[in-house]
Amino acid sequence: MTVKVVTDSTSDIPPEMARSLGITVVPLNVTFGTETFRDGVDISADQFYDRLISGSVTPTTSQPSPGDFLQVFDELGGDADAILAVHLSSKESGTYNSAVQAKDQSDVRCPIEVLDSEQFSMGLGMIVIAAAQAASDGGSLDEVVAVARGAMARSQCFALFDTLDYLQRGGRVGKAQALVGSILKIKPMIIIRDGRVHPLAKPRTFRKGVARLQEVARGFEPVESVCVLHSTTPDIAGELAEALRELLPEGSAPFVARFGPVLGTYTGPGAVGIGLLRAE
Amino acid sequence: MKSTNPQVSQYVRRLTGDDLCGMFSAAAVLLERNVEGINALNVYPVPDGDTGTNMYLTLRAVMDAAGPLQGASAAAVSETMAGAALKDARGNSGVILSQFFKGVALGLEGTSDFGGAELVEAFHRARERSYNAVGEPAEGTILTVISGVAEAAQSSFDEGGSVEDILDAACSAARDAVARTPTMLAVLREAGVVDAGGQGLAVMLEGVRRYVMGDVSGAQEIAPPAGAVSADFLAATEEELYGYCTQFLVHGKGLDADAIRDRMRAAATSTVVVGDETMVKVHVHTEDPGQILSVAVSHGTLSQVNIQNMDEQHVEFSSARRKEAGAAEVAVVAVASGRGLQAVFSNLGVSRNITGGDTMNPSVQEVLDAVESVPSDCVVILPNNSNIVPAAKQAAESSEKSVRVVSTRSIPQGIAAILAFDSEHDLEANVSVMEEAIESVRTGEVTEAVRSVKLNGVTVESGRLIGLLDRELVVAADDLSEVVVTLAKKAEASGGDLVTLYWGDRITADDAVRAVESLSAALPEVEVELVEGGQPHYHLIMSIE
Repeated sequence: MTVKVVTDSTSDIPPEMARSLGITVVPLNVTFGTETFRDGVDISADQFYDRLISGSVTPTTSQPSPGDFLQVFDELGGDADAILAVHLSSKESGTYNSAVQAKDQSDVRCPIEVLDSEQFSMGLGMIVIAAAQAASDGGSLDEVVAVARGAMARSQCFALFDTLDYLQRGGRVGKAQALVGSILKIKPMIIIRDGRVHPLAKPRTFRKGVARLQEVARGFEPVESVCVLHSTTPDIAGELAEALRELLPEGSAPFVARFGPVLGTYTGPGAVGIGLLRAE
Repeated sequence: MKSTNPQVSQYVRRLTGDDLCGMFSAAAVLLERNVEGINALNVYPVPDGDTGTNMYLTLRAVMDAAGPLQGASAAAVSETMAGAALKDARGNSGVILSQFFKGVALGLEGTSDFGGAELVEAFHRARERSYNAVGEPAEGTILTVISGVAEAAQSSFDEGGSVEDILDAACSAARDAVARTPTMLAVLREAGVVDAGGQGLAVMLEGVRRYVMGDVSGAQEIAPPAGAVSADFLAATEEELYGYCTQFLVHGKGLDADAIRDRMRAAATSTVVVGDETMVKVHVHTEDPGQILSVAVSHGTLSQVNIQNMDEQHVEFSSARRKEAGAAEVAVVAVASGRGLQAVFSNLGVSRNITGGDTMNPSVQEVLDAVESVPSDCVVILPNNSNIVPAAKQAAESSEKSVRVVSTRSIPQGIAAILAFDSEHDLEANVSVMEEAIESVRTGEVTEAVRSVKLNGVTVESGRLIGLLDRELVVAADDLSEVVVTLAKKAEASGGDLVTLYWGDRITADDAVRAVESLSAALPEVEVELVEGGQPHYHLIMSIE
């Protein structure tokens, strides 16, 4: 039984990890003015953040087209027994809808299942990685879907931003609106719940925010896997990953990933986050 | 699908595959010109929309693919268009647009050229596909517009209309449907905008219509229907708010919107004037609404006059926003004096401020009244002064509501507590995190000694400045900066720490800035923030964290 696992670029799974787990990543698009780039394909995270910081144009993002998914499903359908596509929260993006459209129009013979993870970034990534592992263990589609659904209930993603400006400009601020427009300087912290961005805390300094990220992570113990994310600060992410090592069993360590261009449009530079999978 | 024409008799114009290219090429040109305006139709109070961009990029991809197909059949062109749209659909609006093109292709299947019957069929199929494309179709969106277009096209055709008549009817129905969108979706109504995707489609169809009519009037911006917020409006409202926001309609005959706009601009700011010869909508910011109205009344009769004090509007906006954020479950009341400090507390989620502090402790009844006045059954009281804690506790016991006192003994403790407040958590969880947060901050206060005293080894003459750290006298000096720096050092402020200075009504902003400069010079690794507190008695209140 070969089940192919598909996700989108907002999962922020490091490319080498996606390759080794056989995960197909469909890029969303990021647009500066009238120039459109495929997330992680036509534009790297470094190029993106350089442009975000130095440029005057606010980028916008868009979902992959149903045609993009059709092409991927066609390519994978040849030698797969089934395809499972898991995507970012349908409440903030039409990506899931695009994939469903493609599923309905695809001529591929094998069954295709599309899941709405109700998560973002590594909150989604953790689910996809779990599903890919189940698939490489030879699981049937039903089994892989069950693993993905199980991981959905255990996956968490939360972050500390240097500023909420980017999230607000991108129109995705949602319930975190309560963090906007503070008279006092605060470093906004958010968490993903029910597929949307929710306010988590309002530390006055970034350092306190990083300490708070650790506290929140510990609150989810016992955990099975931890990922530290950053947009432009690998050093801070590395230190945080080291500090969170104690959450995991001897011999395993948190891995570091990066908020890619599409999510970076909303996190902005200087953001740090954690994606984790609670133990069963 | 009903589309059979009962009375085919007269000469009927047939449109070719090349015409189809021309139609949507004209649509793309007109849409491009309107991208900004459509992007600005956004339900958020910031110009962050990208619906116009997404639709335009999708349509451009359609034309890149179909444009080169010279002399092809209508079926082939529409098929190519649908394929390209599906492949390059951007955003939700682009996806729906791709289904619109798919429907058109289904309607024109097998045709080399087409007339009214096929056009109507194409609109019907476009509607069907578009509704199917959306998981939970909602009215008040681009779907409503497609639906209106399909129905109007059918009616016009049933009455024997030509392709020109059908497109006229379709465009007019599209405009009407766009104007109706705010009546169907509350989120549009609240934001005062029409649906962006719907407007995008209406603009496209207008381009299509103009091509078929041979109208070469060129691409210009098409204002969304009345009531909508234009890009100008959004840009204008980003400007600083002061004075009165004044809006009204001018009715008359032969009105000249340009002339009215010029006169308004001379007398007010943030001027937006739109309309036609019979009705003009005016929006301005002015310090003298009376003058504006008397200028306007010389042009015509006025109606729907709406004048709002923008300071009040701003306050209402903030409180509405807090409500939206779900703060109603647990409410917080706080005791503070000074406009600036009260603003900080309100801004961070306090529902009700009670004026009080040193030398003016509020009564139990005043605290109780505040507790009773908030629209929540669970209330946290922040007394922010050790002398007010007892009254707060008394009020908590007297109230029928579930009331808890978080015993904050200073303004910085109160602010630390409210920063930890989370409107999504229940009363007990909030009390617990707020009490914990108090421990994270130290309080410095600078005031003038009201009598001579010797305390903690510090000798103070009446009238000198004194510095208190967590209510302990630690320094006396004549210079404000010296007191501030000593307080920060005694609190062991170090790298990565944040000192926030709230300056009171006994000193000027310049005095406060000088204190900040001295502090930054003495402790360069410490971050310093200066906020207007406006409090009485205390020159400065400092939080060190």
